Amino acid sequence: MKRSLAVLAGLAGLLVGCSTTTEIVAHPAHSARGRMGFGVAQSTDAGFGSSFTVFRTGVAGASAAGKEIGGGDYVWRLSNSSTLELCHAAWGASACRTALFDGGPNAFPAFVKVAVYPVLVDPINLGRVQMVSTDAQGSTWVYGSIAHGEDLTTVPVSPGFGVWAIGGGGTIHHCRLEPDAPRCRVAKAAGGASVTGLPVSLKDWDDGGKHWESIWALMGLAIPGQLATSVVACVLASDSNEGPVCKPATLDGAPLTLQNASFFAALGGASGFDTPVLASHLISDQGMRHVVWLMLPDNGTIVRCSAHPGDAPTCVKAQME
Amino acid sequence: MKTIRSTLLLLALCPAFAACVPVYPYHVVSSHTIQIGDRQEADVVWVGDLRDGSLKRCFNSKEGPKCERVK
Repeated sequence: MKRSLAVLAGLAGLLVGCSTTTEIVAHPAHSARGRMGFGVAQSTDAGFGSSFTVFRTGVAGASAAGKEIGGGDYVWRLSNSSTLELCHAAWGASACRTALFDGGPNAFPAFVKVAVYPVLVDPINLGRVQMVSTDAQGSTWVYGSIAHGEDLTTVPVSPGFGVWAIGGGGTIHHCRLEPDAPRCRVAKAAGGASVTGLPVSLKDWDDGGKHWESIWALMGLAIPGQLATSVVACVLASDSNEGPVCKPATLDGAPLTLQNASFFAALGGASGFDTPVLASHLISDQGMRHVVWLMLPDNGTIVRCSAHPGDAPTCVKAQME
Repeated sequence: MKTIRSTLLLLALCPAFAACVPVYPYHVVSSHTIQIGDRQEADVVWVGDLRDGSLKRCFNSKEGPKCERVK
């Protein structure tokens, strides 16, 4: 018994106590008035001559249009690997408030010091991360890549300074400042299940006196013998106190799924390999629509998918001529 | 750390196998929106076909999305 406890204590020491963790901002967020800019956070755990580093979108700064000086600037940041905060100077001594993921702070898994989640979803990295591992022999493993371009990584500031985030377990959340606290509400599919997936496009717009935020995502789903990925569109009004609702896209009346390899293709998006997304746009066509063009992994089918608040998202195969 | 490294190794190796990663036949050349009416826009995607080097212009026609060869 004593020996087991000693071994456990030793392992815990290896995992928790004998390494150092550093959190820095690799690329700060910049934005002009009326825009929210995103930046890259770097979390490193080092010890015994080795290190493990995660780069991810972990800061976002808002410069709200039309607000008084100092009144419209808010910053989202990761205060350590797993805690997302919203900071505002006018809040005084406790200028940073912890974002509550479905009611509580995003928690670390046991014995983990550097987590991949939460990660903010910006328009070009879309929640993907880069991981770099080095060992005592000097070998380095790199998975994924992170892009940072100040012109590209901004979105309009929305009511509540909203951002999309991927929380623990890969669940998609939408975060905003609510009257009592910054809250991240999980995206839900029909039936109330939490949506786990990878965003592939992010847009927001004003229409009908409301501000709307929308993402297209590939939702992971294991089915016997293979992996399939369903394609969903998640839309919400920015001032809503409900989480986003995700609806599956249909093709020819049936839910669109990207079989087998697509899930890895989606992962590949994190590492610079192929992704199934050709393009995405916001267009005005009988109301604002969030459009994505996708390739299906079946030798050359292209589909155009369109989402609009209140409507079921639909995809149509492109005729190839 | 060992588990993390093993996971990283698997993630790195997996895409190396052809079965894991589809080879899509198209790549994006350009995409944009164009104004086609007072309050109406259209989206256009230009794609290159890796199989024969041709260029296609994809747009949403009245009959639905269409990709026309332009070269």
